[in-house]
Amino acid sequence: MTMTNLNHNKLLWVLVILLSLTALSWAAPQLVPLSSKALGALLILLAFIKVRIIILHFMEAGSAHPPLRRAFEAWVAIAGGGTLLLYLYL
Amino acid sequence: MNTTSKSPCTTTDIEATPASLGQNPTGVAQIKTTSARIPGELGLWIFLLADMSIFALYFWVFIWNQSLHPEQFLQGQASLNHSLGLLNTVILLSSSYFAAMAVHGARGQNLDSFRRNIQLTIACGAGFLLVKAIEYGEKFSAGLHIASNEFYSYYFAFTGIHMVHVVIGLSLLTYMLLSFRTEAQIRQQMANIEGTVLYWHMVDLLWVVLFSLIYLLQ
Amino acid sequence: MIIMQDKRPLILVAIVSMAMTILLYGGGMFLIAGYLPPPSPLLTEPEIAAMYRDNHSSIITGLTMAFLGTGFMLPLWVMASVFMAEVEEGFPYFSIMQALCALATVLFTALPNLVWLAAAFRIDRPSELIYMLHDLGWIMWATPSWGFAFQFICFAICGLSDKRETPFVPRWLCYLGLWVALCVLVTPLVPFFTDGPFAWNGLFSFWVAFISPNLWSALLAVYVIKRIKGAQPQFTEGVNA
Repeated sequence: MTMTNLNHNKLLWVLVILLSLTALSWAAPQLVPLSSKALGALLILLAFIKVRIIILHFMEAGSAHPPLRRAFEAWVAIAGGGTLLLYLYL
Repeated sequence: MNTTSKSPCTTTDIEATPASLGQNPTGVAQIKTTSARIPGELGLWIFLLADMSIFALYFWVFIWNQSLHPEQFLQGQASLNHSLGLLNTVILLSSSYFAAMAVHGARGQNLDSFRRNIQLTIACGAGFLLVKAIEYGEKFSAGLHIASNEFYSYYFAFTGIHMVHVVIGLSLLTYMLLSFRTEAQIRQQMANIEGTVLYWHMVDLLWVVLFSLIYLLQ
Repeated sequence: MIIMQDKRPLILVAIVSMAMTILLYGGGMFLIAGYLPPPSPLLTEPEIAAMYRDNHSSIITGLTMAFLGTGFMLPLWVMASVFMAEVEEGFPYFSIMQALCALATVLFTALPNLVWLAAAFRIDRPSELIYMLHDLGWIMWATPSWGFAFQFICFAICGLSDKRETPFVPRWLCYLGLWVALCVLVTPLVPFFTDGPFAWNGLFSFWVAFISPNLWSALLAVYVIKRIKGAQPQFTEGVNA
C-alpha cells in the first residue's frame, strides 16, 4: 500500500508542479521585469518544460523503452526550439 | 504470456523493476509501470508523435504569422477571455492527473479507483468543452469568426482542431467507462486503457502550448 | 479463411490498377495540365482566364488523362475491403463502409476534372464564367475529405481488430492511418480562406493532406511487397484448425 501511495504522491507532485508553472506563466508579466521578447521566450520555455514533464512523468516515456524516450525528447527539442527561434528572430 | 499488452514489444526486465513502484497486492507480475517497456503499444506512440508533429507545424505557423501582423495579433489576443483560457489549462492538467491515476488504479486491479478517476477525467473534459463553448459564444456574439482576420482564423482553426481531438478523447474514455466493468476486463484491456490515457495526455500537452502561444505570448 | 494462392492474379491486377492511377492522375494533373500543386485562390479573373486560354490543349489533355486515372483506384480499395471482410467474419460492416467511401473518393476526385474541362471547353467563354467554374472545381476537389478520412478509419478499425498471428496489416500502420484521417479532416476549412495554410493550396489543406496519405500508401506498398516476397507460404492459408 505504501508503494501505491508513493505513486499517487508522485503523480500529485507532478500536477502541483505543472499548476505552479502555469501560475508562473500567468503572473510572469507582473512579476518578471523583462523586455517583451525576453518574457515571450520565457513563456515558450515554460510551456515546453511543462510539455516535457507531461511526456516523461504522466505518459511515462521517462521510464519507457529508450528509443521511444529519445524520439519524444527530440520532438520537444525541435518543436520547442523551433518555436523559440522563430519567436526570437522573426 | 503478456496478456496486458498487444504490443509486439513484450515486457522486459520485470525483475529489474524498481521495487518502489508497480507492485500490487495480487502480485500479478506482468503489470509493471517502470520497466523499460512501452505503455500502450508502439503503433500508438507513432500516431502520437505524428500528430504532435503536425501541431508543431501549427505552433510555427502561428508564430510566423504573429510576426507578420503584430498589431492585429496583439489586439486579437487582448480580446480573448484569458481567465477562461487559464481555467481550461487548469482543467486539462487536472484531467491528466486523474487519467494517470486511473491507469495506476487499473494496474493495481482497483476497479473502483479506475472507474472513479475515469469519471473525473471525463468530467474535466466535459468542463473544458463547456468553457470552450462559452468562449466561442462570446466571440460569435461579438461578430468574430474564423474568417474575420488572420489572428481569429488561427485562433478558431487551431483551438477548433484541438477541440476535435478532445471530443475524440472523451469518446474513447466514455467507451472505456461503459465497457470495462470488471477486474478481468481491465486486466485484458490494459494496453487499450494505457493507450487511451496516453492520447488524453497528448491532448493536454498540446493545449498547454496553444494556451501559452495564443493567450499569453506577445 | 481466404485461400490466397488463387486470388493472387486479382491482387496483382489491383496493384497494377493503382499504379495506373498514379501514372495517369499524377502525370495528367502534375505534368501535363499543371493543376497540381494547386494555383493560388488569390489569382484574379484575368489571370485564371488567361491560364485556361493559353494552355488550352495541355489542360484538356491532362485533365482527361487524370479523369481516366481516377477509376483505377477502385480495384485496390475493393481488395482492401475483401481483406477487411475476412477480419469482420460474417458482419462486413466496416468493409462495406470502406468500399462505399472509396467510391465517394473516386467521384470527388473525378468530378472536379469535368468542371475544369467545362471551363476549358470554349476559349471564347466569358472570363467570369471560367473563373467561377475554376473555383467550383477547386472547392469540389479540396473540400470533401470525410469519405477519404473514413476509408482510413474503417481500415484502421479492421486492422486493429485483427487478432490473427499475422494480421493483414501491421498495427502501427493502422495507427498511422488514423493520423492520416486527422490530417485530411482539416480540408472543410477550404471555403473560408483565399489565402493562408488552410486555403486549397495551403500548407495544411493541400500539402499535409496530400502528402500524408501518399506517404502512408508508400509505407503500405513497401510492407505488402516485403510480405509477398519474403513470406510466400503465408499466402497459402487454407482452412485450418
